[in-house]
Amino acid sequence: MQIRKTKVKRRSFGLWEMVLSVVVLTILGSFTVKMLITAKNMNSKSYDLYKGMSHAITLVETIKSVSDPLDLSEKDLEPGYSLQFKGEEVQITGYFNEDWDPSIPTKSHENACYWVIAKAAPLHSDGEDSEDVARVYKINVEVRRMVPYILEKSQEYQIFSLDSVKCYSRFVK
Amino acid sequence: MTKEKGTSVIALFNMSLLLVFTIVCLGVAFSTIRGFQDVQEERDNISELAVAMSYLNARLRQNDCSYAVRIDSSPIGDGSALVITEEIEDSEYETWIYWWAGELVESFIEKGDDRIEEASSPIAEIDGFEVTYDEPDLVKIHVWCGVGSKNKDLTFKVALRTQPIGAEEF
Repeated sequence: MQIRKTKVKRRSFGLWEMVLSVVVLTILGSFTVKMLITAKNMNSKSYDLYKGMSHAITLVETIKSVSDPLDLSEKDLEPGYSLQFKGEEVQITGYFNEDWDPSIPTKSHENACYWVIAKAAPLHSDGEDSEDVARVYKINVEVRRMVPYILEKSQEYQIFSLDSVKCYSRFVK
Repeated sequence: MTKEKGTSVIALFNMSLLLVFTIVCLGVAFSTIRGFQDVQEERDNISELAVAMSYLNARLRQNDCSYAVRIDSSPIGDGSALVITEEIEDSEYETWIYWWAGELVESFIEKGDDRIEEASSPIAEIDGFEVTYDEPDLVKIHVWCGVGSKNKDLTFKVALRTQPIGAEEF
């Protein structure tokens, strides 16, 4: 009987095994970090939605609280908003930074992260301009994020948009 | 002898590399756990704020009747309370909405009853609530959660179609 003796070369835990495990764990770690960033982005989107909603509610309620949208003035609005009249249309614009604080306006608004715009325009314009005629206004509020979320590509993101209608008449409050 | 020494140096290097790698892995794991806990806490705070906002908005809209809404000082501690008055079977009842001990609470009691605290039930876990008149018919509500960099807040106004109690003084 012949016993074959083979010489087994035994090695300790080598550098290549180490490198391989580092690579594998780095890949797994990067997935975990990606998951964390995705979860954080989802939270940011959720907060932005509610924050945008609170701004939109405030704007719609402010527009609805006056007897005529053309009576609106900047003192009726929260800080960060500016008011413009284009004929019978009223436009309210606000720029906010990452923390939803009013951003200091610059020409190109590059320091702004969020953009809120509210428009109130008459639905039917029959040319009559009398206090007795009810005027129906369509109010549209749009909230946008102008800076992409972490690791996201889209430059502009519409957080949400809502429409409302208000009838202005001396008989309706 | 020199070969053995060389092998032990490589083994020592490998072991120290493994140690460093283990420490880094543990660090990443712990910071990820902490990160996910923060994300979870933030999500809870946002949900509670959203619950508070929609609840308050709905309550104001439901009870927008003449002289049914007023702002009073909180029955417990500092701060303000939103009080809604309604008449049920010839008796006047009040709903007190105020903040106490980390919660937005609601208390439905008969008018004049001072057991507001006993009758209270929680609505949302938030860190603060403030209600003020912004205009005679505009009620401004501010709710917030968290402190410092984790602070989240929602501010909104509700225009009442009816005159709220006490707003004449505005």
